[in-house]
Amino acid sequence: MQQNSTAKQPMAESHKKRPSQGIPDVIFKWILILPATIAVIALLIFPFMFTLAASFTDWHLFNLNAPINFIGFKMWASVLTSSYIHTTTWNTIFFVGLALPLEFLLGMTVALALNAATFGRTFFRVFFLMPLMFNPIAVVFLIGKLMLQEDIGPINDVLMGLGFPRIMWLSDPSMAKITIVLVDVWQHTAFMILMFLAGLQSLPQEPFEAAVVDGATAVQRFRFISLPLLGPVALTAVLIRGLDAFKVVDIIYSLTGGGPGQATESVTLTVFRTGVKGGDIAFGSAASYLLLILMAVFTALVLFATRKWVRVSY
Amino acid sequence: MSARVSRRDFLRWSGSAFGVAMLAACQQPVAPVESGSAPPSRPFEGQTVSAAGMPWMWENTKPLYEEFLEETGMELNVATFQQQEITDKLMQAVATNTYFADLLAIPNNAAADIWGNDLALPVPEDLLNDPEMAWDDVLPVYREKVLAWKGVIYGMPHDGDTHHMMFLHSLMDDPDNQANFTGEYGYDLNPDRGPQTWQEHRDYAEFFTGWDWSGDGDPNYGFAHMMKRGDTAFWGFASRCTAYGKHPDDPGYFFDVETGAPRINSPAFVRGLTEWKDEMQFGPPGMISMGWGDVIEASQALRVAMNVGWDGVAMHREGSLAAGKSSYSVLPGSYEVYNAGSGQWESRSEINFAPSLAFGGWEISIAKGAENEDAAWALAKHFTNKEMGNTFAFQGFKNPIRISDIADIEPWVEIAGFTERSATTYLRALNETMTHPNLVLNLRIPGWTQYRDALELAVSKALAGEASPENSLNEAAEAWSAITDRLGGPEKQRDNYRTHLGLD
Repeated sequence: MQQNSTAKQPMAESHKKRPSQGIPDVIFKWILILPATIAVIALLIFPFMFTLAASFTDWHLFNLNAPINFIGFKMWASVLTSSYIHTTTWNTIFFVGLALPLEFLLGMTVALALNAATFGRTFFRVFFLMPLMFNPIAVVFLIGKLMLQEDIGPINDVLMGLGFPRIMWLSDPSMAKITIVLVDVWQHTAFMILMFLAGLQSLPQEPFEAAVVDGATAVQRFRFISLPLLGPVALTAVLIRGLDAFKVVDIIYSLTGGGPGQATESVTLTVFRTGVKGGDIAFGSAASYLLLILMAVFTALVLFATRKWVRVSY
Repeated sequence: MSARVSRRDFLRWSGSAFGVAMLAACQQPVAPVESGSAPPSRPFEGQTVSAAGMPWMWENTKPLYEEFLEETGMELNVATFQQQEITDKLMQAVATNTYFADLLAIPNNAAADIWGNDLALPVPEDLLNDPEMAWDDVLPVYREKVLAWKGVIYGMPHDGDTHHMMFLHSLMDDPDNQANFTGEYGYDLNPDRGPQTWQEHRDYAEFFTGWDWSGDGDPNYGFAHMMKRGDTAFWGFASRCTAYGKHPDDPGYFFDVETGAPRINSPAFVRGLTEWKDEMQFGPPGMISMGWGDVIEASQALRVAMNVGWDGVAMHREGSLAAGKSSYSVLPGSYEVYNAGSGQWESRSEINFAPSLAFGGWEISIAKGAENEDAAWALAKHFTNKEMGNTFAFQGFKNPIRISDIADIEPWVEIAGFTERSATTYLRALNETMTHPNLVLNLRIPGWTQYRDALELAVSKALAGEASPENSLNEAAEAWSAITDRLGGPEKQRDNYRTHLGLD
């Protein structure tokens, strides 16, 4: 007992203070944390609170000499009752609701194929990840402006050569919604591939070996072993990609400008148009909080589903 | 002595080094030790002028200002942005009253926001009287209205933008086309001026749609206009409606000058939008997604017979198939014009032309608070004096703004690459546009970005078939009224609109 207590004494003191360094550990920890804390307050918490406060005012940047008045929930009410915002909200939900499952299914399929591949595995891994390395604006130019050009673009040229009618990729409101999703799927499926491939390669081999011994088919091994074990990875991938998709703006802004009409305008683009370009800080702030609420609901739903269906540990 | 470095020592040393580096970075640069006073020929030695503009203003034009910098000793710090980006950054700087650059290239629309709020300096008296600037040579509409706010000139004359119509005279010259057109429509093609009314424009567009008149093996189209939302649809649509909505006896177009109420849902605009939507069948598939650049490309590639735009020069650039085949005219007019005062359409014996000063151009202005004000004005003068202004125009770096820019076809033929016929019609179109008594000015009131977005949305919805032209323009008018209310109310914006038109 005596030996034990004397052995602990210097260790405990070393946690409190190292005389040779002069700075107590507790203070030194705070010094280390301080830059990150300042950064979080300055870049996250302050804008968060500032935007919230702005949403309760009538602040318009281009009404330069006018006073800024507190108007309570009036701006929130005008956002929530705005048919403009209703349309962009549905557009955003449609985009996420279609792009995310497509990217999920395609990503998992390609990852399974790559995981099982015995030939050219490295090449195809890099090949499938390449879209993730492109700038979204370059993707828009490559796919939207060149490939999908409606009059003389190569895709319509091929399709019409095969006897199909001309597809109005960007000019028909319904088709434009799909086109935006397709461009996003082209670029961001790579992220899902990356996540699922990493997940598949980290799975324990024992359950698969046991299943083979028990005579399980490949489909059964996927259905009853791979899929449940990939749950945590799938959850992470859906959350990251889903939250990112809610904020989509670059593809839409450069490909359709939100049109035709309002067919492809997302909430983020509305916030950018009204708050940043238009100077209507109050409306833009309230609209950005609407987006935040949407994303919070999405996150809650994913977490709820996870708790119900996903096995979190092996 | 131990060579090992503890993690704590590493943090301490690196932190110190970072701090020293930051302090050093915050220091004012040490002025170079001068061996003697600067020679008089280098009056701005050691002075740096920061300038903001688009790449085309600074990058390809270097040979035109490098010698000036060398002679004056001025340092130039240029920040270039694309068109939309610089507009956004300028407007944010306006809104937050923050410094952006000494010398600004401002979009004409922002005049009320920048000049009206005293965020730029008036052009000094000595420059207004400087013979090299030759202000009498600047087209009156620019000198008296576009470059000024409340009678004070803030902008140096740089770029002058107008919308005009381009048409391929090579098609109109063709005897077979002439005979077929006359047989079909009962009047002759006009190879000199193209269609003169929007009804004629529709006939021309219909005639040249759906067959291979360019000889490339694919069917071609009658026209292309800028219709893309978020691009240039605002100016495309505004120019499409001027003949119907700009009454010669009424100075207002976008707003009523007495009440400040928006007019964009008047029967004139509804008619313009209805016709525009109907005429899309005579343009390339997907014209609703075509912006300004797409229209140029389609015209250069001979996919369309006519367009409306700013870019006569672009038709004659290397690689353009339209070079030598294109002519120009003022925007088509109409025998009917809407009188907003009486609420009635008027039939006229003469065509009502109402050319459009769409966009109005990029003007050079010096920001209030510029660090080296004299140097900035000197640079602005170098860019905009008569001689250099002519050079910029003839080399295609900007559109004409001076009488001397459009007085003689010779430099346009020899430098810009026009044919004599193209140059003659181009200069005639510009001259007739910029001196026209019923000219529609580019919209310059505070909050113009929001007005623009709201109108483009309505136009795009109607063109896409999401709403009728009437309903969509009624929505836009409501949105304009709401924006006006947010910006101080109709009286305040009416006053700004009247100032913009030069009425007050």
